[in-house]
Amino acid sequence: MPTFETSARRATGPAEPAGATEAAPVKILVAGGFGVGKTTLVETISEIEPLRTEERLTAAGVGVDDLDGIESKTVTTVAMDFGRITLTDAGVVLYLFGTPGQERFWFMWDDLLNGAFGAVVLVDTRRLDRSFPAVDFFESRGLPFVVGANCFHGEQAYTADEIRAALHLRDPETPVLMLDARSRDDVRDALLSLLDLLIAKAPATAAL
Amino acid sequence: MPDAPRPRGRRRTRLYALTDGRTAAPRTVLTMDTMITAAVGGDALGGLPTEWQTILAMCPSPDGRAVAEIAARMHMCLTPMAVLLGELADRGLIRHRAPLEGAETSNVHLLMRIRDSLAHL
Repeated sequence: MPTFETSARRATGPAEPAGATEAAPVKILVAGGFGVGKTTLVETISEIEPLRTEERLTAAGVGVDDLDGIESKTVTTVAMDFGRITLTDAGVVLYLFGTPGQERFWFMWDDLLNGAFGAVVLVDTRRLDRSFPAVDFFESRGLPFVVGANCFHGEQAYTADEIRAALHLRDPETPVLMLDARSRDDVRDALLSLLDLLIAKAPATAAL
Repeated sequence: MPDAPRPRGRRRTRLYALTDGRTAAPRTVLTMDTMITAAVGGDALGGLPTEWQTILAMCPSPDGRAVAEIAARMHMCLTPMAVLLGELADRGLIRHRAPLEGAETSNVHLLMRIRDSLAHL
């Protein structure tokens, strides 16, 4: 199925001249249930105030069977907050996209996942079930992710192993970190953990 | 090169007229994380719609901005903004850089550069 990405690569016009000095965008997703702290996490590490963008999705864009018996073409608006981190030395700009809370619409939105490097799944151990859709979605799409257990009020009643077991993570090596989404160091460590995971997976990916 | 300035006296073209009202998609298709950089500036902006000028002023070279960021700052939904930016790309007013993906995610050197830069935040 042709995607936006493949179309973009065929795009004509004055695109990326050789040796362009502009930084390359890199997309990382921040997922998790409603109220788990996605926007807080983005705000903590972003160099700009988080921005909100919206997308209108129609059932016409769905390549699957009807949703819950909805027969007619429906339109729904999903919103996401995102921030940016410019990494001049690496020549990239990280965009952290907080995924919309309505997980059932992610399947309608190829553009959301296409080209993403990886994801941070934030969980609230008091409402662990709210993070199941994100875990399922990324596992089914093969997107590498780390789990961050947001410690509200600085407390976390469970260990990383207990959280890993409760989430039924397909890959038992998936990093599970305790973090405070308001702590810049914690958020940076979560991103470092994701990069470590990508680096560890890189040779296997390259061999495919 | 940008097209010739619009004839004087004509009403400025509104954004919706450039997006929702389209019958043909622009040749350039952009994603939400495509990086946009203005290809023109200064005097060249004169004859353009003010919305276009605002967009071009937002992403002066080399400080590109993602399509999603431009959409958010212009208070537009992603798809119409992507279409509008595609139009600007077709006219040579902007450059665009596709997000790193695929081969790059297995580029250990790049990943390590990103990691090192992050560690120094």
